Amino acid sequence: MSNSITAYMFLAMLLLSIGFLGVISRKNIFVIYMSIELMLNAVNLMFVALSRYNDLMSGQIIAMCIIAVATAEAGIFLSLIVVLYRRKKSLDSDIFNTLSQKEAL
Amino acid sequence: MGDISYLLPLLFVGVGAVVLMLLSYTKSLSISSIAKIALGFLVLAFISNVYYFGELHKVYPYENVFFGMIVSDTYSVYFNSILLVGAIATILIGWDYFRPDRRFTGEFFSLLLFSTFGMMLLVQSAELLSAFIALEIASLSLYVMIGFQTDNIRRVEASYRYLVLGSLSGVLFLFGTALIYASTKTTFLGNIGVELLPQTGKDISLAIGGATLILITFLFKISAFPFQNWTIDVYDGSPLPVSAYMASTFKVAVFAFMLRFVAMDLGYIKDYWDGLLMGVIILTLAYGTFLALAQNNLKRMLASSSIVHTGYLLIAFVSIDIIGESASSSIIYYLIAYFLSAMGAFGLISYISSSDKLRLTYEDFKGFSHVRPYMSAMLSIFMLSLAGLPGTIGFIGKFYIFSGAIEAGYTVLATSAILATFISIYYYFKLIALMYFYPSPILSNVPPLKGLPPIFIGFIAIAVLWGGIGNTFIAFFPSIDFLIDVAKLSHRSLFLQ
Amino acid sequence: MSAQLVLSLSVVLILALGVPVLFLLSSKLGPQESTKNSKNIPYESGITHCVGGCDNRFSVKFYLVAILFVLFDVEIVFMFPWAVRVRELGYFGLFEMFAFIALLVLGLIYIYRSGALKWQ
Repeated sequence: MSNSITAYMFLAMLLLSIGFLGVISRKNIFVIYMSIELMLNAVNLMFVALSRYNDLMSGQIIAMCIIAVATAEAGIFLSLIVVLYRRKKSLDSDIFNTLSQKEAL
Repeated sequence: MGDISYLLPLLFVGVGAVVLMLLSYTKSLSISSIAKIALGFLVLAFISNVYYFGELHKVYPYENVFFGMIVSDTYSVYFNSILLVGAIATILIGWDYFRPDRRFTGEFFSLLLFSTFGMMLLVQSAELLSAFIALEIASLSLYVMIGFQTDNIRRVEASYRYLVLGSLSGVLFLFGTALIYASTKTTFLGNIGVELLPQTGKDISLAIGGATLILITFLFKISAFPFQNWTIDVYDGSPLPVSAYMASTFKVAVFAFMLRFVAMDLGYIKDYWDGLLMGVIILTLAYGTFLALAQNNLKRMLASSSIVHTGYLLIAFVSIDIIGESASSSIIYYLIAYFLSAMGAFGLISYISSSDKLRLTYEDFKGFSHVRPYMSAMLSIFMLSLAGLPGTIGFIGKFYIFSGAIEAGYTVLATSAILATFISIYYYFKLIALMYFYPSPILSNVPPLKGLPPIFIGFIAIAVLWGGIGNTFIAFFPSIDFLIDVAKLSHRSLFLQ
Repeated sequence: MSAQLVLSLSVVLILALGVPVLFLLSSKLGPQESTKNSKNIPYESGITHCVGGCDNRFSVKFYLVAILFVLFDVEIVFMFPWAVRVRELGYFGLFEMFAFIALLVLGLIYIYRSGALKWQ
């Protein structure tokens, strides 16, 4: 197993699951952001491993494009976190409830 | 003209976005002149796009540069026209909303053009990775547009909420792409379908999983049942013209890509989805109806009813492999119908609230017809069209979808949709009743009917009526039949070589 | 009326009634509020007492420049595949790379004009 594609896939799935768990269970908005980045990198790993396995270069180029897109996302994420922190002085996602359902009903 | 003529619409919008970005800190330019420049670029793009409207073609422009990642066919021209009209309409109906507010700078219009550029690229992309990049260009610009007024915490929160869920769904799209890549060794739309043919004798379970993950992203972006919770909050938290833009254009672009993907590649996989999609549709209709009934705020009501409209659209989406061409043309027609009615309704409400930026509830409209009779008439037309009453474009759209569903044998879905339509009459007509059957007006400080936005909204209202009854008056003027014919032609253009 | 039809209609009705109940219960069943303050610090299980002062504020300018740096820094990834094949791609590749860098320069001009690089 150590020399085959399975190990890479296994690692990528593991990272993806950890990232997903982080997004749904954490309340710190910074940790949520890091979990999403983790998931993106898991997908990157998957593409690179597959491209090496199939002897195709396309997967590696796809991984590079994903890195660039992830950076753009990071820019918006980080600036939004700064804005939110300056407004609320906290990173807890629970206090962002101005839009919650109960208030509007 | 060479290949460049097929790319001109994209080029105009992209160049316009960059030019506006560079101009946005020029002190001498007022916000209305920047809006005029944005309009100019969009109109140029629209004209260069309409040139190929209704002509059967499929071209991969500059194949040695883009390697067939971008395609231009009748289908993409059709959808690009809708998207460009949507962007133009957003600027026009928001004219009085953006101008007095000093927080809307030139960058906002640049982002609007970038977002339109992304959506047009999504419609034109013939490859999964370029589709992902286009999707991200469109949504990243939207996140910033929603949270543009950073001093209003509602805007920033809506933006944050959309950002987290949107990037999560983006990751799922990529994961799906990776699984498809693992199974077929390609990400090009035409080739995936060839690899999945049963004759190849391959195990396609990985590809089914991947395609389902992409379907989930798609359901998220159009706010179908399990992924609908963000819709109301985000629409409610964003500025009204931006909500109008999101509700009308983004849904169109995502539907366009998914239709292309399913029609070209996933014919065999779609059978696995039928049960799943039927459940999704029934739940979408039920939950959207429940949400719309519960709202008191008009903006939230329109947002919830957009979930119900997603349900109607998905019905035609399910029946696409049985009745093919007519299903996809009914989707396209319904998208236009919803686009016009929602744009009109959101636009009128944003015009009414543009001076004091109040959040309008049903109560505010009591006796509204006595102060502003023409505005209430227009609002009634849009509500009638959203509810799907005969004589409006919404009726024709619903008629095609329901009759298509019955023809394809999905009686269950058609009946659920008709039930949802009956209930929807309650929350749409409540507004009309309040406007006409109460003597004393509550809402004061409504801007009078003058300037650009009301003229444009009136134009949309006429288009809504024209779409419903147009053909009976003047035989040769372009109307429903013309739009349906071109929609069928664009479906055919997907399968050209 | 077929059995399936009746079933689906009842599903629509039940859901319209049942979902709100679940909705009200969701605050009871969902994730509970964490009472520990440590969940809100950047390193949950690590540095609690750092040497020197760790709670002094940075100017927000640092974050802005850092974000801009990350954005431009990562664009280098597109130059590596080009650099590997620069001879084979010839003038076509050179032109594409110039077009790409020109777009980056346009972005830089925008940032400069918006005043994000001023340190005041």
